[in-house]
Amino acid sequence: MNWRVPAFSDLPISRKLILAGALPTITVLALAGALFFLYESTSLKKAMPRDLATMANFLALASRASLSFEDPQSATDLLNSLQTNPRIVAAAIYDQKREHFASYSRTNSSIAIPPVPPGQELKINDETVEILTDISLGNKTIGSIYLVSDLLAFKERIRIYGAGVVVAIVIFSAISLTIAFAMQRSISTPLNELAGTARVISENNDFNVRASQQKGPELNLLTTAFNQMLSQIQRQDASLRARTAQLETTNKELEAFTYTVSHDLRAPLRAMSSYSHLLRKNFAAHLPEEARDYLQRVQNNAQKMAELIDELLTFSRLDAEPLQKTPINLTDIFRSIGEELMSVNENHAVLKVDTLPTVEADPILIQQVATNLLSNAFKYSRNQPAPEVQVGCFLQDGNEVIFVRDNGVGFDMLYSNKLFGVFQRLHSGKEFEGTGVGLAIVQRIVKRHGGAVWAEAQVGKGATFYFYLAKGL
Amino acid sequence: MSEQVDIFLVDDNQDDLDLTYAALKETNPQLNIATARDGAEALDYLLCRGKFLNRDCAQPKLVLLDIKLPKIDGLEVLKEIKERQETQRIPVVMLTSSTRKQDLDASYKAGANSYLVKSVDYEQFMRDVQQLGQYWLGLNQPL
Repeated sequence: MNWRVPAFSDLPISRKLILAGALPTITVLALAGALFFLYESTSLKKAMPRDLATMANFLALASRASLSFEDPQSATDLLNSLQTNPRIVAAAIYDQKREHFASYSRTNSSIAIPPVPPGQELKINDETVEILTDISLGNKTIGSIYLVSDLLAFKERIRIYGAGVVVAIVIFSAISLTIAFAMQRSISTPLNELAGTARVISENNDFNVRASQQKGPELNLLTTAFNQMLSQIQRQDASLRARTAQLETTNKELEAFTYTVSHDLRAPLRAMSSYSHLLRKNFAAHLPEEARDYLQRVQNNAQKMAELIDELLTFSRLDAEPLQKTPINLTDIFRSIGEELMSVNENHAVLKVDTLPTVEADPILIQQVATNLLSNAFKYSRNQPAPEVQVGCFLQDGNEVIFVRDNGVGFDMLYSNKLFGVFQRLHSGKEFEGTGVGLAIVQRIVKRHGGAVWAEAQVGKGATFYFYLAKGL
Repeated sequence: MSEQVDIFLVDDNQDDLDLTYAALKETNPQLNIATARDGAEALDYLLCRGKFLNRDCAQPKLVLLDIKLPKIDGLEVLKEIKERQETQRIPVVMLTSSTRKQDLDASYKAGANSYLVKSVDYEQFMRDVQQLGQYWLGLNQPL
C-alpha cells in the first residue's frame, strides 16, 4: 500500500492513521462539492438566457400597443419599469422600419444603445448578455425589443455557490480529521508506547524493562510476544555477560602467564646457558674434552628451550592483537624475505617468485607466513644438489591460492595431519633443526584471515605448501 | 672521594646482574660500575638520599635498568628519572628478558633512550652490550 506515496511511508503511524481515516472522506467531499458546483453553475448559465427571453417576450407583448399606435412615450414608460430589476442595464424597442422607437438605460450604465437592432438573437459577452426578440402582431412583425442584462449578479451567485461549497468541504474535512484523530489514538498510542519501550531498552541496554499489556487481540499478542522476547534476550544477555567476564579473566590470566613466561622463565635459562659458556671458555684448560662437550650440550639445550619459549609466546600472541589490514603486494613480500633468508643462511638455492596478487591482510602476520614457509622450503631442500624454491599462484574455486614449492626431502603424506600441530615435527632435530611451531603459526595466521593452508609432498621429491586468504574480510 | 661512575646497573636477579657486570667488564675492564638490586635503591642512589645521602652525587654516564624490579618497578624508576631535572639527562637503557611489544612501547613512552633484550646466548649478549657501551659511553657523551 505504502509504496504508492513514498513520503507517506515515512510518516509516523498516528499521522498515517489520521490520513487513512480522513483522506477518503475529504476526497469524496471535495469531489461531490466540485460536482455540485459544476451542476449548479451550468444550470444557472442555462436558466439565465431563458429568464431574459421570458422577460423580452413579456415586454414584446406589452409594447405591441405602443408600436401600433406609434406612442413612444408609453413604450419608454414600459421600459423604465425595468428599473426594479437591477440586472437589466439597457433596453430598446425598434419599430417595423428597424428604427429606434424607445430606450432605457440604467443610471451609471455605460452601455450604448445601438441605433438599429443588432443582428444576433442571443449574444453572451464577458460581462453582459444581449437578447433581441421580434414583436409580432398576428403574423406580422411590427418591431423588435433588445435587452442587455449584466452578468455581475450571475457571477456573484456562482461565487457564493463556490464559497459555500469550499466552506462546507473545509468544515466537513475538519470534522472528519477530528474524528480520525480521536480514533487513531487507540491504535497509535499503544504502538508508540511499545516503540518507546524498545527505544529505552536499546539506548540503555536495560533488558529489565517490560512493555505494558495493551487491549485488543493483536496488540495484546504483540506486547506478550515482545515481553517474552525480552525475557529471552535478558537470559541470553546475562549468560553472554557471564561468559565474557569469564573470558576476560582467562585472557588476563593468560596475559599474566605469558608475561611471567617471557620475563621469568628466560632468566634461569640465560644463567644456565651463560655460565656453562663461561665455564667452558674460561676453564677450558682444566676441563677434559668430555666435560666441555657436556657443557656445550647444556648450553645448546638452554638455547633450544629459549627458542621454544619464544616460539610459543609468538604463537600465543597471534590471537591477542586485532588484525591491522592493509593492501599487501605478496610478490614484494616473498621476494624480499626470500632474498634476505638466502643471504643470512648463505643458501645457494634458486628462488623463483611468480607475480602474486595484492591482498588485504595484516602485513606483520603475512611476513611471518612468508618467512616460515620460505625458511622451511630452504631448510628442507638445502641438502639437494640443485635446490629450487618456487612461489606461485593459481585460481581455485574463486580463491587466489599461493603455493611455495621446494624440491627437498618432502614428507610422507601419511603424517600430513600432524604437520600443522604445535611442536609437531616430521624430522629429527639432528637432521633438520626447528621447534615445530612454524607451521602452526602459519595455520593460525591464515585462519585468522579467513583462509586455509594445506600441503602436498612425496618423500624425496619435495613438498608444496598452499594457502589462500579470504577476500575483503 | 669516589671515582666517576660510568654505568649504573640495576637488576634484581643476582645471576643476571653478575652476567651483565661480567659482559661489561669483558668489553672494557676499566669501566667503573655501580649496582642496585631494586627500584627504591636505584632511586635513592641517583637522587642521593637514604643510605646514599653522603654520596658526592656525580651522576653515572649511563643507567642500565631492568624493566621488572621489586619495590619500585623499572618503568616507575624510569619515569622518575625522566621527570626529575637533576636526572633527566642521564641516558637510560632498559634491560629485559621479554620481547613483548607492550614492554617496548611502555619503555619508550616513559622516556627510555634505548632497549636491550637480554639474550640467552651469552656471546650474543656480549656483542649487544659491547655495541651499547660504545654508543652510549663513546658517542653520546655531553662535553
